[in-house]
Amino acid sequence: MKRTLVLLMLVATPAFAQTLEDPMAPSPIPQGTGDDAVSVSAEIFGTGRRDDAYGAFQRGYFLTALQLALPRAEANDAAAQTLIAEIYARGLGVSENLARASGWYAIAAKNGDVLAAFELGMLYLDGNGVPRNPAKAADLFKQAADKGYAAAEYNLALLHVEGRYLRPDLSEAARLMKAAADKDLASAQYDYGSMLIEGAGVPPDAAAGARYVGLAAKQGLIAAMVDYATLLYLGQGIAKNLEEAVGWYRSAAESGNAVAQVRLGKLMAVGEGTDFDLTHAAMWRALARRQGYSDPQLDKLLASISAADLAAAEELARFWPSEPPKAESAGG
Amino acid sequence: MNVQFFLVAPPGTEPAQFMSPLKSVLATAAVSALLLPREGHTDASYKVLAKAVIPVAQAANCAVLIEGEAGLVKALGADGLQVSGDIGEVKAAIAALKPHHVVGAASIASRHDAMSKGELGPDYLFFGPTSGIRDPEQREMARWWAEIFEIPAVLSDPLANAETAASEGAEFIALGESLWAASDPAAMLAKIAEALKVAA
Repeated sequence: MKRTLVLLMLVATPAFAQTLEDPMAPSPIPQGTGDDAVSVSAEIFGTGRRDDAYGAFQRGYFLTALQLALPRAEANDAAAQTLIAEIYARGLGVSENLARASGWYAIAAKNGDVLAAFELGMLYLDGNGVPRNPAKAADLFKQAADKGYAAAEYNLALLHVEGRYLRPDLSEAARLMKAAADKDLASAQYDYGSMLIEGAGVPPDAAAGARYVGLAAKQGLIAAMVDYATLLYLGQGIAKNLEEAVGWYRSAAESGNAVAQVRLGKLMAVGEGTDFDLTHAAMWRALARRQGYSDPQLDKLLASISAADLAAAEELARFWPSEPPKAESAGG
Repeated sequence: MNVQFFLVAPPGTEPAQFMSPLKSVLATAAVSALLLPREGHTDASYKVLAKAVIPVAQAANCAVLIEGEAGLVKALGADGLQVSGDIGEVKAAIAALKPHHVVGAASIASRHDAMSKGELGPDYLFFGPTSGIRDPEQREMARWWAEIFEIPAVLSDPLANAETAASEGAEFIALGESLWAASDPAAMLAKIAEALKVAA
């Protein structure tokens, strides 16, 4: 999640995103439209001198990018320093080397690069490539958060909630969380929504809370989908809507979330918001059990299932998420 | 932990000139290491100097680092080698000498060079020249290195005085030229130690 955001912030062109999704792709030339090529060459030849390294980077020529960026990095060009750090942090065309990445992030951060400050903060938080130092991580997050970098605001908020390395301060956490949420960071939308619902650091506001949790759900954050479904089911902070609740439980269940699988099973077993369907209810129960999650209430609801339906459910679960192979119809 | 002293002997010095100021500075402050630059020496005069200096320095708990061939470290009974060459030379020295002897990498050309050499696992990186005027960039690089990396940094400040000496977070500050040029090197080292709060 954080990683995705970071990538989007670094460079916005589709070519870049494609390259990073598969850095080992044999053909580094993006499969995009002609527009991509135009924009890339415009960046390389049209504008500032920093774009040659980025151009190579975007097209997957990481070693070329490194070579082009190095002299500029030594000459204190923060963008080039960050580019090199990214190459080492992700092991793009070189062995992953977090110590080296830290070195370049540090100098880029000092030169005012927010992405670098944030990434170095994460390395210090986890002790990757540098000795673990959450206090230093907090300083770096602060540096990036002060410039409005959403992922840094989010992590700084978490450190204020945790209150071990920064002073415990729920209202500051809520302020930062809102700032990150309003920049469309899904985790922040979910956490800020939860803070609004609970009245943590902000006056309780069920409607705003539900709205933020919904935004995170719409971005595909599974925990938010499950919570949003529950809010819709209960009609808390949002108009009650069983069909929509089922839809969100289903999305989360299909992503493998065991809680959502059980809740979807229960709704199917009673026909609330969806068709009554004991076989699929039992399938979801079987899938949740596989993950070690069982629910006595669902077991009770499924007590009356026929042996044949139960067997069919087990068969569905065995092949899930694919369909079981269909027997050839004899009459065909 | 406070910064530690690392001394650099004057180029081409002879025991007759050097032993007396050396003894006085070693008696004044804790000195962790002493580098004997090869510059200005023949093979023979270098060996003469090393043989005179090593037992005296080691008796004061000061490691002696030499320059040149790895084999010379053992032959002379020195503690280690400082390598000013490229990555290949640092690698060869580490292979030949570690873990029983110290290997330091000097002549750090760039941050990239620092990281490349640092990854080979030397005992320290030496930033700055052994004599003369220091490029301010070397000071910045040492500060950056000390902040991020665990391998100790030696920041050389050949023209240091008590007013200007600063470690920039480096584990060691290397002093030399300005000390030996002073009328009383020990007194000057004492002043710098006072300014940097180095334990005696």
